[in-house]
Amino acid sequence: MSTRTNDNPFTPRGTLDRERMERYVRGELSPAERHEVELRMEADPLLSDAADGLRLPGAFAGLGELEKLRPAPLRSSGRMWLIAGITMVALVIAFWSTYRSEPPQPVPAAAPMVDQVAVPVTAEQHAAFTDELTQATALPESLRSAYRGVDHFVQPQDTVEAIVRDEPPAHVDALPVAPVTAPPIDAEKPKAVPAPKPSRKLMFFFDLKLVHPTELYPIDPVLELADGSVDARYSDAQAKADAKPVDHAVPYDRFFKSAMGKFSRGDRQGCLEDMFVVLEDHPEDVNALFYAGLCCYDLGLFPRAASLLERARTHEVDTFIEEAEWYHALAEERADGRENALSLFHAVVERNGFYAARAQAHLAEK
Amino acid sequence: MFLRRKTIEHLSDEDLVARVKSGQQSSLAALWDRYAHLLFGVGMKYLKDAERAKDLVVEVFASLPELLGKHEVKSFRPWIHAVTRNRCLMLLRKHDPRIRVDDALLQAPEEMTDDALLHEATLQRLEAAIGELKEAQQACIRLFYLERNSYQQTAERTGYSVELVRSHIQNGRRNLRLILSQHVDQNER
Repeated sequence: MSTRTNDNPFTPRGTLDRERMERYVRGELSPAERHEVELRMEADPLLSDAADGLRLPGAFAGLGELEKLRPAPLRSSGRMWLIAGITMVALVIAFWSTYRSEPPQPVPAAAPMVDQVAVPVTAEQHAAFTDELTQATALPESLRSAYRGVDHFVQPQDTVEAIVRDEPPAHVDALPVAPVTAPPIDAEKPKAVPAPKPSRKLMFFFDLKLVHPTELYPIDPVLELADGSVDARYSDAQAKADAKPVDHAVPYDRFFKSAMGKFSRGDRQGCLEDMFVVLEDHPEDVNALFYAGLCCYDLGLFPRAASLLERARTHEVDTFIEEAEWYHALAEERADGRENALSLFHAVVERNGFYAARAQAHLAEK
Repeated sequence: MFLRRKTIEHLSDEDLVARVKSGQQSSLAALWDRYAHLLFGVGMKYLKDAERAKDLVVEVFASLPELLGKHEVKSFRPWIHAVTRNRCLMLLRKHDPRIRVDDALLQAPEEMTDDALLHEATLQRLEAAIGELKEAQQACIRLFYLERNSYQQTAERTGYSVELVRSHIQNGRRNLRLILSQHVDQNER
């Protein structure tokens, strides 16, 4: 019979955190508690070496100073750069508006996005985001992004209708030949030709386009499919974590498959949660930026959508450039008014891509 | 709460290593929280100087992404211990070239101790194996492991110093593994 479970005298029990370790070194533990720590030390040479070193004079003072040298998480500096970048863009726009030779344009009623963080990270930002979400009015289905049959990046096979043609007539009389006159060539304003995009490896989940992670990362990142629910048998989330610490880390493609499934089912909120999880650790992930932007747009969170889609539009991986440009313009229009979005719609027309005709029609509407 | 929470503290060391390899600074900070105080202790043990030990910890963590890119780390804890200890020895050797650095550890910085035999043995087999140890090792192993005395209590009951008790326990433990593995070999024949 194996004694591994509880009664093996060589198997340490419980956990050893830093505070307990320091109390051990200071001699503040009871003999039984000391024995538990020493049992671990015998099985773990690192712990044993560390305890020996921490007993030396000056160790605890040095340990206190060591905390100041802790590496800061990247997302803090990423957020700092994001805010700095947005501020810089706002300053450049303000400078340009003030000093250009054309008549000045009306100043926007509110400076968009300067004070806002598109991806909530801290508890306060999460709370603000939740408030924002409850006050937002989601767009009707027909106005949402990826509305089936409209956007070229969503073309589910089951919605493509077979084209019905009339039978050709048995006999057709020849029509008189009319002289053909070519339309005048607008030599001053040639149509822009879309620049060829670099070939990138893509992947599709539920017909939704994504940039393959090999195009973005040296190795596929591991993401966390967080499980926020707490089963009824646990008193709270901590009790659940203590009872069964579960590893929710999943590969990038599996994570996005789950998220895109939510998107395709119309669960924009669920998809947005997943995209925020990605952006928290990978602030420049273009897949997450784009789909988080679309989710925010559909949910009526237009300033956030504009910020995220602008980052997707200007991303060095330009796979979503056309889509992001179009939805960025729409989000800006809803966030800050038509006047402020006109230049963005004109840019879509100038690109002469998939959305050019729609942008042209949109500009002609009002 | 509406937004899902991340539970980085529940990730294993090896998962954090994979995240560091993919460029996640937050995972490096999580590894710092788990190991910086321990590595500082290791630095103190070998270098005997808090300033140098602090510098050592910072250097080890600064080089971690690059090192992890070079080495296939199966078990992070013994690996980072070996890396830190070797850095200490290298620093000491700069001042005194006679100090020996373990070349085997430098080449494969991952020590593996197989304690499974000890953890999975039955009490009867452990008792039989302990009986084959030298008298001093036997006494210390019995008092420490079977009667659950601390180092200090074991030292008081045997009359040895705490350092000698630890030495007997360490050597006794190593010999126990050897004896148990020999028993396994004999049973398999």
